[in-house]
Amino acid sequence: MFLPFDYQSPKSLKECLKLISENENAHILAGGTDLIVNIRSGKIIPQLVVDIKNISELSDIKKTDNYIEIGSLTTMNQITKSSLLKGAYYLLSYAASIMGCYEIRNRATIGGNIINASPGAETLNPLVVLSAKVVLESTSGQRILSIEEFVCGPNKTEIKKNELLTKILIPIVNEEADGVYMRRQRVKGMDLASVNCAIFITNKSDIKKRKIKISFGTVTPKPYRPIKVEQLLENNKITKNLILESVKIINSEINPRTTSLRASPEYKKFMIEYFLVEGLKKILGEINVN
Amino acid sequence: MKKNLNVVGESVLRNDVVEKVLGTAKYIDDYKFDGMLYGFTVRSTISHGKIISINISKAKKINGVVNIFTAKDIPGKNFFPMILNDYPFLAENKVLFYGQPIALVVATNQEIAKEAAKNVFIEYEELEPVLDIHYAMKKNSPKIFGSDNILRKYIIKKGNIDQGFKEADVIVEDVFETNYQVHSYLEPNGMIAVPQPDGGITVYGTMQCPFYVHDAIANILNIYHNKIRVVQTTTGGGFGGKEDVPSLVAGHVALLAYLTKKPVKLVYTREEDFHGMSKRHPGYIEIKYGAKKNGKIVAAKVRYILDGGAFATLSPIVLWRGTVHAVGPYDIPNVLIESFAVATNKVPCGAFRGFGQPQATFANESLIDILAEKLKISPLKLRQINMLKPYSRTATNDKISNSCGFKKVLSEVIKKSKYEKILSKKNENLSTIKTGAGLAIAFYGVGLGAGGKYIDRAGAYLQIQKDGTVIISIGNTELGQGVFTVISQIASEILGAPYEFVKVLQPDTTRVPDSGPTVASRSTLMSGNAVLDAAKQVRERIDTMVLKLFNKSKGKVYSNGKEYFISTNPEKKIHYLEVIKKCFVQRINLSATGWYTGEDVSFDSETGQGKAYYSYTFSATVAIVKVNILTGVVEVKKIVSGHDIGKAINPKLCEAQIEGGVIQSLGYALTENLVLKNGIILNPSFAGYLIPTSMDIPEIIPVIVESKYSKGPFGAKGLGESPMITPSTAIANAIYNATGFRTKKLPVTPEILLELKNKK
Repeated sequence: MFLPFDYQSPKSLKECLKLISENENAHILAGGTDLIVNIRSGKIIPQLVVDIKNISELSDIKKTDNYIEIGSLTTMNQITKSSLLKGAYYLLSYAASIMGCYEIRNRATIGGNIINASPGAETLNPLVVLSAKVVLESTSGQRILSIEEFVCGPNKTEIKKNELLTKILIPIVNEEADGVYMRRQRVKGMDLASVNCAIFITNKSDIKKRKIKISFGTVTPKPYRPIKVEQLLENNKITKNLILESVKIINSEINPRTTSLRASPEYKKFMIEYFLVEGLKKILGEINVN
Repeated sequence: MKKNLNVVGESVLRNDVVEKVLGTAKYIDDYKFDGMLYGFTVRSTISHGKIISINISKAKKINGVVNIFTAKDIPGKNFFPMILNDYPFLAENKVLFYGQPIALVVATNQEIAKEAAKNVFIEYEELEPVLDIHYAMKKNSPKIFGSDNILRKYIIKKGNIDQGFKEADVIVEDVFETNYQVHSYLEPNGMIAVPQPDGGITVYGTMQCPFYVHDAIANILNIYHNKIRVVQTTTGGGFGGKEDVPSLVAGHVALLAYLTKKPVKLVYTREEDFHGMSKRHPGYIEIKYGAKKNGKIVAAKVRYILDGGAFATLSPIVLWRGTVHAVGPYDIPNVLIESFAVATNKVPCGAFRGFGQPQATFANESLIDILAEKLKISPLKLRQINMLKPYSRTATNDKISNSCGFKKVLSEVIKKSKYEKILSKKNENLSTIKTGAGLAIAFYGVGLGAGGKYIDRAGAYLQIQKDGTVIISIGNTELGQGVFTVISQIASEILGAPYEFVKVLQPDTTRVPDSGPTVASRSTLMSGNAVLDAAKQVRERIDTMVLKLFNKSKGKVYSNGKEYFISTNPEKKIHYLEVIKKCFVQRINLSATGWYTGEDVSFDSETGQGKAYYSYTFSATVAIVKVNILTGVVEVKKIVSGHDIGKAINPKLCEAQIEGGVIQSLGYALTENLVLKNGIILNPSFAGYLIPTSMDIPEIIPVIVESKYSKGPFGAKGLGESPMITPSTAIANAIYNATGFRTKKLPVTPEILLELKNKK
């Protein structure tokens, strides 16, 4: 199926970083669930493919003092099963658990999901509301960006050609926190999200202290955070009017593309209201918004 | 009670299933021939235009490219034979749709062929594309077919339509639209052509209609029919999509093999298959019913338009079937149906399971519910008042025969689904999830009918071998529907040979005479009868031998499936194998050819009156749905679908056919949504075009009713298409019952439902 290309499989991160610093046109193969598809369809015609699957230090989830660190090669199924991603972080492992199908989840990595930066990417909204950061490494050192800064749009991130995404850092939350991830899909089996949403709330039972973060997918080219709405909802009792006001604010800020085949802009706007109501209900318990 | 039949009516194991389950069955892409080359198709990248030039020089220089051919290299005629003969194998001066084949690359491997195809540069003068049927029918639109863009039109006039509506107490009318549907067979189209030493050609491939392919190759190569052999390889689904267009694929690959003198493989990518192969026609239907207060429908008027796409292919007969069935399965005295298949600059539409009927059914079975509401009669009662029964007359004034189990089908489906209980249940106001039930019924003319009567015949060859095993050749193809199993059961029953002894050979156009296409739910009836004919001839000779062995000069010989006996002494038996051995020793011919032609049918082109089909299958489906009115998401919980098919030769296979049709119809109703812009398909993949997943499939209860057709093998009519016709409309009616929103478009996406809700 392929035109010939060179293939390298470095055994260590150091070796890999050297390789990509010397070859600007290298395409990184992690799980391959996007790269192989794109090569097959002719969207990418690679000269060199660097397979990073053998760099074992990149596929691990561990807890440090301040973060849960997820190696970029960690697969969706590893994330689904991780005991560290329960409780408040469950929204991320839940998102990973409904991505693609089981076989794809065995291959697809969180790094790949982020780098591909599809507007409906399953993990991006949860990572945004969890205030995640990405660690980028190159032969010249390391830099850390927030996921919101890092993702620019479909297939577009701040990564440089000589850099490798090595880790995702999720700040540990000590406060009483909870989150939710929701998506609309057209069939019950495997489908890409037509519109999706993550909500994360800390200090959820204290209306004065609570912090709310919301992120929607597919309504703008990158994950969309309605910051004004977050502020509005944070310290106010949630009522039907408040939700309607929130929806109004959101609708004035977004302009979903009409070319999406998975959902019309009008439908996405419908779902924003639905997700807000359902998501807040789920985290805060029964709230009266009727 | 003593059984009359040994194997017919039994759910024996399919005889093609082991190799399919084990993965040893060979599909076209599994075949390789020595020195084989690979083809790839260069396709139009615009919807309408003139070809100014074709530049192949760069592509030809690519290492591994053997040659590139265009229309001028065709030694024969540049069209494949199909009704109006308007579809060229390769575009000459103009292109009429995005994806239309223009040139063919042949190379040493598929990647090179594909790469080279990208490097064939075509210069066009773009013309305004005609994308909409209404615009196409206007005087001022560009004309891409004839002087009016009409590929075919029909009229059916029965009684006096004006008088009919005058007599009506209540009149309802509405407009309904349906989208494309993609066949979504697992195996994309593909063929291999192998040149023969005598200058002839053998073509192997995935297909429904080897005889169409045979004709197409004769046309493009300009060689005699006896130099061509077409073999159907194990086929991964067809659903109509491998009826007409494989002729195009075969023509292409035969041309490449003929000109290069090498075997050539041409297998489509899924994306090519989406862009280039036929689809279900989008439908636009204006429909009007007039009824008396008591519910009797006295007049029906339909204007039924199909979007045919750029070339006619099968549109004329798809239109014909839809037209004949357009007012629904009702006895209506005054009818006017006008129908049009319209040319547009889009992918040509063709055959698809249901063949014009799902579109028409969506209109008439939605409107009948609207009428019922207006009359304040239950949807069930209104159907019962008007539905066809023995001796009532269809829109073409065709008299329904005794083989009509419609009433029973409906009552069984209603009972098993608890339709009336769910229909009348009130949904709680506060709940955002609403439950509803919907009903749709239909009749389906079995076989090609008057629209294709001249090709409605079938042949068969049957031979008992030395060891008692049986080989059979038929002209119809196995597409997964189970026809080889059914044919084996029929032969086994008639011969008295054990079912396991019977094998149906790979279909091959040199084995039996042209038996027409494998379409129109006709194989059990047509090939079944042809095999029945052949088997009866052989059985007669066997019976003579049995009598001889019993020292009788006459009498009736019976079989229990492995032994023969006579009525006067049923205890004494003689084994099948023993009789066969004796026949061989005594040089009895244990082979025969069989033949069957369908009963005569007619259609008057002026009035649309006549015996359109020789028999009808009747069906009814109830769908139970749950609708989330906040998200517009519809979940189908249960579907009960009943069909009067005359006789179930293999009940399990029939149930599987019903289940498959229901699922395909479910996709048509809810998720299968092809999107085109400027005539270009925007979602040519299964990530973009969504067929139901296993998780979307509801509980399906198939119901079989057997009201025997006197001319059918053991009374069988046909089943393949019937299950595709009613479920989508039953779902739409159930959505209305649940929510009060009446959709007039298929598919019913959540978008449509929320739009309807907003309007309200």
